[in-house]
This record gives sequence, structure tokens and C-alpha cells, in this order.
Amino acid sequence: MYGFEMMSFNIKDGFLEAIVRGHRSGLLTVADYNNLSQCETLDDIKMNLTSTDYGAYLANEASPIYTANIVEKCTQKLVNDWNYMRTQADENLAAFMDYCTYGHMIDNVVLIVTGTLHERDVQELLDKCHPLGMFDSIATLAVAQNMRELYRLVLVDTPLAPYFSENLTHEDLDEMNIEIMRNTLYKAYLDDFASFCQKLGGTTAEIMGDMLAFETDRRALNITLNSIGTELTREDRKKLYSNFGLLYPHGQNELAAAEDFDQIRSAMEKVPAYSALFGKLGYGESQMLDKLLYEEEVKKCVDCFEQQFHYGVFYAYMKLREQEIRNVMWISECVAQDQKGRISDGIVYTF
Amino acid sequence: MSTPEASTSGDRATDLDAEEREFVESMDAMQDYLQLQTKLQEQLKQGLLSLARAKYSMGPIGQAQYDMDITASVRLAVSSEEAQAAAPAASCSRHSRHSFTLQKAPAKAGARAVRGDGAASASAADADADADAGGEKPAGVKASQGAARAGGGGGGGGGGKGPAAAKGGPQAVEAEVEELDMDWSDEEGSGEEDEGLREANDFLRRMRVEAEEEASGGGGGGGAAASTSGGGGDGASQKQQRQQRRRRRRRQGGGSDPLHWFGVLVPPALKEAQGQFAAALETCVELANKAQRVLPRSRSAGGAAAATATAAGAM
Repeated sequence: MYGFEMMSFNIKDGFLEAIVRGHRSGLLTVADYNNLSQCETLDDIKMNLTSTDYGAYLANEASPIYTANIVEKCTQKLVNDWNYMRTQADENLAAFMDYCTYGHMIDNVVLIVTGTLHERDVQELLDKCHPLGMFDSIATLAVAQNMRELYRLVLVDTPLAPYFSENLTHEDLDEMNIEIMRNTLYKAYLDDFASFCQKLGGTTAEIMGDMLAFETDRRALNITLNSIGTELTREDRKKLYSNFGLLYPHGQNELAAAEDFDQIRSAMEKVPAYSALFGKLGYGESQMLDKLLYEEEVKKCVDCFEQQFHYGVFYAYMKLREQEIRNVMWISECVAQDQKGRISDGIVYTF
Repeated sequence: MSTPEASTSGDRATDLDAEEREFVESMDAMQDYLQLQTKLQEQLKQGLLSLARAKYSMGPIGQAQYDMDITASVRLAVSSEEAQAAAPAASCSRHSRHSFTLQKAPAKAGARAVRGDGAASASAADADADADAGGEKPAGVKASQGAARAGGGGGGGGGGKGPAAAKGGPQAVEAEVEELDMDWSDEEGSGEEDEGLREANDFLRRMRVEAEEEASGGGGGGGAAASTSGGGGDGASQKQQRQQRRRRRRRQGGGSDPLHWFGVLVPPALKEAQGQFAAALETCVELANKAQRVLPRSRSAGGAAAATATAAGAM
């Protein structure tokens, strides 16, 4: 298994691996982040970014620039890179790259359904969708009124079809149901992605297995944290946790029973890999948790570039770019709100 | 209107005292105002930072997620103290002052809309209006007590006005609350729902009448067909109306907390941001009330000018 990939990987996917490694070397460094942190206005940020990989995308922006514009243009770069690689990808890699985008597809579906619930115009909502998660019949989502219709009219022809379970209800779509639907879809998607990677075998299976396990544990943690104080019951919460990962099954049982942050912390600390993470967090402090989780993810992604001849580098590249865009967004917000002291609260350095 | 130029020195002294007290009160109010401004600045800063943190956790947040059906959940009642003042010393013209109070919309809005018949919803609206008036009265009283406290320092005219304002304040607030509540409940779907029900009933009646006519006038087969199609027709339309009503009702039920526009499982930063902005709103109202106090209460044309001139001269 191991090592034999060296002999056959480059036949089909060598070119694209080289391309993605080239992109990876263009990620922002610590020096870039320091320059950005010292900007006084958003125009300074734009100027600093034009000397990086984002130059071509931001150079022509009109002068009163806002955080949302910067984020949009940076996302456009990720999308262009990704599409370039995807159009040249061969059989297995193409399926893998599609799997990477299903998460965005689920987010787009939820965005449109929620927007329709709030009586927004479909065209506006389409503009706000993530470009990596578009599919052809997405605009027809606005027609559906309950989950069964949603499935039968639109989603049955999309790659998300197998993620809908058989027990579709006639329940009308309201905010709670939509949230449960989003998380159920995501759970099924992660389970499916993990089994696909295991089928691919070799280094890909090992590396992706590790990264997806972390992703699913992170989602479980976030679901638990965000559902404190809402009407989501424990049983419902348990149903949203995936069927793999370091927390499965015992950690998940404990998480389902947790009612506040300290109980969550004690549940997570039983897993040795995460106890170090929670050790860095002071008592009762939950604001840094997001940043620590993102740091952990970035560390895994950077490590994954150490090995060659596997597909994990593409997934890792997407995650690293997204983290970078989040960093730039945070810096822009802090600069715009004159809170430069808080910049270090949100930046996760890649290198 | 002119304060009679005091012939006796005693009168002039009390005028001067009154002016001085008002001046001190006005300075105090200005200090409070500046403190409140820094407080508001802090709250807004924290709120915006929490919002940025929420964006960091959950992706872009923006106007795209607003519910197009927005109705305000917090309203401002403006009551003018001038209208209530029974002022004995009302010979001087008064600079009219207003006091502002916040009213939060009744939380059981969704539950209210669920009831189908008009009578139940009207009585519920009344009950809520009373509860709300009761709830808001303390707020109204607080605001006008603040006025009374400040007014109490204002000497003769001010003192007379204070208790009158305190009494008049809650009443004014109450009246406005009731009428605002009535408006609000009208805006709600309960009216629409009644209409929907009435429409459905009318339609049913019409179909039945038509069916009867057909059955009595026409042939057996044609009449039966008409009645069944009529029955099927109004069944379908009723189902559609029921669906529409259900959708409207459910949306109102969930729409009472704007936090849910962004999903049910929102990051805690967003909840914090909501709390901080709500607190900032209350500070804004306090600021507005204080700003009213900063301006001097009585401003008689000749007398005050002369009094302040002498006071300034004396100092």
C-alpha cells in the first residue's frame, strides 16, 4: 500500500499536485500578517494585499472598500484556483474534489431555504451563495415548502440526494427544522466522505481519516456549545453527531449530556488528543476556543503537505485558504473598528 | 408673559435662587450626559467586536439574512411633560420637555396569533395590553421620577411641576402603550387569519348555495357533479388557505427573536452581541432623557435674562 503510490500517482495527478503545492507556497506568511496588522485603514490593507497572491483580485476595487468586499474578492481567488484544478482533474481526484465541496453545497441549500422562509428574493440569495457549492437547479429551492418537497423536487438530482434519510417528514420548514436538516445532512456527508477516503486507501486514507475525524469532533463540539440554552433536546443533539471520530461513541454520549461549558470541557478532556487543547483555555473562558480549534486544524493541514502522492493536499489547501480569508476578515474588522489590540485574538498563523 | 419685575428684593432673591438651582441641575445633567456617552461608546464597541467574532465563527453575516417581514419589537413612547403640568406658576413660558421610554413588544405574539377566532385574539390583545401597561408603568414612572428628582431641585415652578409630571407621566405612557399595542396587534396576523377564516367560510357557503341551486334546478347527474366539484373545489382552496395560514402563523411564532434569523445554533458571540446592542439601546434612551434635562426648564423672556445678567454680574 504505502510507497507504491510513488509509482503510479504522478501518471494522473502529478501535475495537479504540483499546482496545489505552488499555490500553497503563496499563502500569507507571518511577515505579511504583521504588515497587515499595522495598517490604519482598510485602504492600507488593500494596498498591502496587492503585493500578495491576492493582488490581481483586489487591485481594481473602488476606493471606499469594505470588509465584505475584501472577503468576497479573496474568496474569488480560492474559487478560481479550485476550478482550474478541478477541470483538469482525472477520475478519482475529481470525485475527491467534488466531495470537498459538498459542505458548501449544504450551506448554500440552507441559505436559500432560510432566505425563502424570510421572504427574500431568490436572485439576492443566489448572489450570496458560496461559488464552490453551486449546482444547476439551485434556484428552484425557493419553491419547496416542506422537506419532502425539497427532496423530491430539487435535491434528488443533486449529489446531496443520498444524504436525505428515508424518514422524510411532511413538516413545514421552520428555523429549528432547517437547522436540524443542515446538521443531519452534514453528518451523512462526513460519514460518506470518510468511507470514500477509506476506499481510496493508502496515504490518502490515513491522512484524510485523521483530518475528517478532527472535523467531525469539532462539529460535535460546536453543536453542543451552540445548543446550550436553545430548544434542541439531548436526543436530537445526539442524532447530529457523526459515526466516527475520536469522540465516537463514548465522548459523544458525554457531550450529549453536557449542559454548560465546564461539562463540555470535562467531556472533551477525557480524549487525550484534545486535553492539551483545553488545557490552554483558562477556566470558564470560551471565547478562545474557536481560535484554538482553528489552530489545531491548520497544524494538521500544514503537516499533511509533508507527505507526497495523496489527495489530502487538495483538501488541506482549501482549508488553509479559508483560514487565511478568515484571518484577513478579522484583521479588516479590527482595523475598521479601531480595535487593533484584539487583532491577535483572531489570527491563526499558517507557518 | 413676563415675570413681574420683582418689586421686593425677597422676590428677586428667590428668583436668583431658582435660577442658580436650575443652573446646577443643568450642569449635573451635562456631566451625566457625558458619562453616558462614554458608556454608550463602550457598549457599541463591544457589540461590534462580538459581531466580528461571530462572523469569524460562522461565516459572513449581513443584511441578506434579515426577515422581510420585520416589525419593530421595541418602540419609543414620547410623552410631553408640558401637557400634564398643572403648573401654578405657569405664567412663565415653558420650554417643553419630553421624556422617552422604551416599550418592548409583548413576547407572546406568536401564541396569540395561533388562536383562530377573532374574539379570543381580541381579548388576548387586551390582556396583553394591560400586562404591558402594568409592566411599562414602572419604566414610565422611573423616567418621570427622574424628571421629578431633577425638577425637585428646580425650586418653585419646578417643584410644583414635579409631582404633577409624575402623576401625568404614567398615565400618558399607559395611554400610548395601549394605543400602540392595539396597532401592533392589528398589524399581526390575527386579523389576517380571521379574514382567511371568514373568506373560507364565505366560499364554502357560496359553494353550498350554488350546489343546492344546481341540485334543485338541474338534472341529477349535473347537480351531483357540480356539488362534488364544488365540494372538492372548496376543500382544495381551504387546504391551500390553511397552508397559507399555517405558514404565516409559524413564521410569526418564530420571528419574535431576530437571533433566529441566523439559524438556531448560533455562536455564543452572536448572543452576546444581541445583549450588548440591547443595552446600548437603553443607554441611548437615557441619553435622550438626559439631554432634555440639560436645557434650562424655565425661560422667561425678560426676567430670566435680567436675572442671569445680575447673577453673572454678581459673580
